[in-house]
Amino acid sequence: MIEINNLTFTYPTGTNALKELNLKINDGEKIGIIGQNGAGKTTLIKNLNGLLKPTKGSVIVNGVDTRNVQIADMSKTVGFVFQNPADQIFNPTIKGEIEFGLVQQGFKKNEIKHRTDSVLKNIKLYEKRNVHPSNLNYSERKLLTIASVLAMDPKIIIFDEPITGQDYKGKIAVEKIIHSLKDKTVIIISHDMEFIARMVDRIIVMCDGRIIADDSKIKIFQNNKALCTAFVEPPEALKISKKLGLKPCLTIEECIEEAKKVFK
Amino acid sequence: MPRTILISYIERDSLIHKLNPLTKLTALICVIILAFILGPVNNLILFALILPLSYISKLTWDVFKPIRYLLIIFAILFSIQGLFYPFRLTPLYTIPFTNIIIWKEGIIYAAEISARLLVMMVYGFLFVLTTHPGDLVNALRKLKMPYKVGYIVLSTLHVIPSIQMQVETIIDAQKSRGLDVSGNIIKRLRAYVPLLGPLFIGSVQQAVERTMALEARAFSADCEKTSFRQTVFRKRDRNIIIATVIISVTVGVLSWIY
Ligand SMILES: Nc1ncnc2c1ncn2[C@@H]1O[C@H](COP(=O)(O)OP(=O)(O)O)[C@@H](O)[C@H]1O
Ligand SMILES: [Mg+2]
Repeated sequence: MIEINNLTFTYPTGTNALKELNLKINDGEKIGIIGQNGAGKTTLIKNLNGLLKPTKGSVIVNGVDTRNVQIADMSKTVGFVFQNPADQIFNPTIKGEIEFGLVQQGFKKNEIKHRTDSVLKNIKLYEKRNVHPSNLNYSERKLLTIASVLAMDPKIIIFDEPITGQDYKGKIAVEKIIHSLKDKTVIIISHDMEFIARMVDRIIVMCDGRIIADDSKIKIFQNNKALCTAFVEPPEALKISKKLGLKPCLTIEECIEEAKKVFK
Repeated sequence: MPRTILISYIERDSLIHKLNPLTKLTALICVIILAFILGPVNNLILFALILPLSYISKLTWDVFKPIRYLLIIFAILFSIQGLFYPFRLTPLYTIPFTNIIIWKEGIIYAAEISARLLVMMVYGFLFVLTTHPGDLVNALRKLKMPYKVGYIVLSTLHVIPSIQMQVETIIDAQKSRGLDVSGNIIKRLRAYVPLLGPLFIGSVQQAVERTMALEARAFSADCEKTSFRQTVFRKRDRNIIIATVIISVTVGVLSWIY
């Protein structure tokens, strides 16, 4: 469980990126964070794994105050997939990239091998395991960075804009992986509302360093005031279902099902 | 948590900021030459002069924080030169129960180099922090420097903070996966080694892309370029240049003689 109390964060440049946030995230929740560029989303999630420490207030992850631990220790509980794969791939082979975090945590050799092989098969890069990561295309690199976090099996996984810049196939692959994380707490930042609608249950809307709305996705997408303030458009499916006078739907599939029932 | 302080121009309303970039460049070159002529003690005096200068520039202390990385180089310099300096004659200290000797000449040599580096670094910093890159290029062009040379200067100044930011992101990514960067200096240095790969690859990729972006926006167009920033060469610039050169030559010659 994550508990954020009165979290305020100010960068040394003086930018007040987070202002008195309060938030509680339960185990196993699937959460989306949306809001304009510069709203403070990345700053918020960097506070969740201790990369940034609160200027004021506190962040408690599974009972541990982030101010009292090293990030190296936090990495066992909180996995973090950064936005740009180029910044987080730094090993000479794909296999080595996956092993990195496990080696840092001092796992036994055969446990490392077992986990590495299993995640590599999962992202279909097992055959390429000995090549240099620069041979991968953008979506394969993204998958590799996700896999390297999954291998460490953290309870909480954070994705910063996981499908930004991905082609369709890459998007689907990322979706499939995130969907498979049933028993984990998943936090996703994204500007793609269709994606958010498919992946999460609860949405947090941020604007100018504050949380302006925090509710179930269906309520958030109907909260015009919050969406407007954050300059967000709800998913197309919601607009269509409303125009057709159906019950509000968030995905095209749901919308079709509803339409079939109503219009026969 | 201290985040990186970017080594780039800081806007302030100060006398030093308002000087012509060429004045500051001349002074910087004088200081660098002096740093090579002077011995370690005099270099430390030269180093101390940064205090009033940065006060005049209205800069705060933390802008000089990146200098602390020099300490690593100093530590290496002192240990290698102290033990293996080729012209060693006088033992300074023998480590008890071993026959490892630290040599006086080596330590003096290391002190000389360290003091020089220190002086060059802080004055180089002061120059970069108080000179707008655009003004520098503009002033260089008035000296009939080719436009491309100006751009090289400009992009170097621009690349330093962007590399710093990239380093920060990469370190964040590594820490998030359990890399421990606390502990003694050797452990920390080793932790930073994996950083070089992505940093280097990223920089080359960026350079290639920047070249294309420049070309696509008529960088090589064969005509007179417009320039927005105006630099003026005032009387006080002339006076400061003359004074700096005279003082430097005098100090240089004096310390050469004695
Ligand atoms: N390293 C940094 N140093 C100073 N200011 C920063 C830094 N990173 C982000 N900011 C500022 O903090 C604010 C929030 O940024 P960020 O959390 O990245 O927003 P988002 O992820 O929602 O786009 C912005 O105003 C941004 O300019
Ligand atoms: Mg962001």
